[in-house]
Amino acid sequence: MSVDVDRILRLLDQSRINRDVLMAHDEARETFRLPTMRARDSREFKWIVTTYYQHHVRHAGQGTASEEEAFGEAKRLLDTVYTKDPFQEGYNVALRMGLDGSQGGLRDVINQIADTLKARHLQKYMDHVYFDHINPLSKTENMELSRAFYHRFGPVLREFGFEVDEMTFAWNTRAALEYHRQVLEHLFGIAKKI
Amino acid sequence: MADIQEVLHALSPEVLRGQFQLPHAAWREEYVARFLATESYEDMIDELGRFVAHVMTRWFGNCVQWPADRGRSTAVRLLNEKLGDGLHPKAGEFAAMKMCRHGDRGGIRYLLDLISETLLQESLNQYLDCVVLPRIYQLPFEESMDLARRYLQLYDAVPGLAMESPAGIVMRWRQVIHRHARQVLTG
Repeated sequence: MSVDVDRILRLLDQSRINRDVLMAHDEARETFRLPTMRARDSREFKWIVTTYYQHHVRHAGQGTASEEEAFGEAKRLLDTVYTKDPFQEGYNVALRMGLDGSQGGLRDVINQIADTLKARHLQKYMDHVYFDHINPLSKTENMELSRAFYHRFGPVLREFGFEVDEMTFAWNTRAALEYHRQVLEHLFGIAKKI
Repeated sequence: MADIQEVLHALSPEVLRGQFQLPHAAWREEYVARFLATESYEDMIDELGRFVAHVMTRWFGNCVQWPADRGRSTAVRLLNEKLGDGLHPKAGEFAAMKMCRHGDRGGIRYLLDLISETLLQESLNQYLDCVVLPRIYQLPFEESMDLARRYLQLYDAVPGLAMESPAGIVMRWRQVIHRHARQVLTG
């Protein structure tokens, strides 16, 4: 059985990923209008964060979330994003920003929620590509994919200093494809400038 | 002493955030892009120009309607300044077009945020250079030293100022207040 390299590469195409995966998140952020730039108190901050989370998941087609679920998820997300000190909750940092407008204020908090949800969706998509299309391949097929891939992109990858040979690719396909995506993005940028 | 108080007030986080950062954030928030990705250069520049006109109209307190063509030319200038590589005069526009065509990094959303940040920075620079600095330069040397001492007591956390002496600050007020403003808005 031959491996359809083109299909796998099409799934990893940046334009396709932008269109099918990431754009909905940007639209969700763009269509939400913050009612205020500085929350009056912690209750208003909580309400804004919850409302935004609900709006975002609904707009990005990721189902609906009840108020409790939305707040819980948003709090967990802010805890991860703003944690610099292990003894301080990230949510409290975000709350302070929302109340006094420091470090970009409430707008930055909402942007962080949007960007983190976007990054998570991208991660899920990459997982989907890997587990549905690459993981099921047998060792022989994986080697074939690796060979075909290197036949096409090997010189480019070597040119940019990615020291991944065919054998490493076959054993670490996931990491190698991530490299490939980055290299293509980089090359595309250079080509446009030229 | 009253002059020193005025200068310190003009540099306080409340003034810098309340009069610059929060209004610009609110104006960006008010503006909803009509699309996030486009194939057309004209549409992209038109959208960005509309946003610039929107911000400038708000900046002048809605007293004057900022013309759309002026907004477009400002948008083009800002794109080339911020996204350009210094090699080609239109490199910034090319980079922006690439983002818009494929929706890279959020497409128009990213560009609007970038323009909003740049306009904020420009208005803040004008404020610091044309309002705050003349007040400082009008002070006699002794009062300027006094201002530097009080400034150091209030804002010792600004990066690069920890080892600074009042005399060192008096010699380069412009650099200090610009760094201070950056620290207040982002730190």
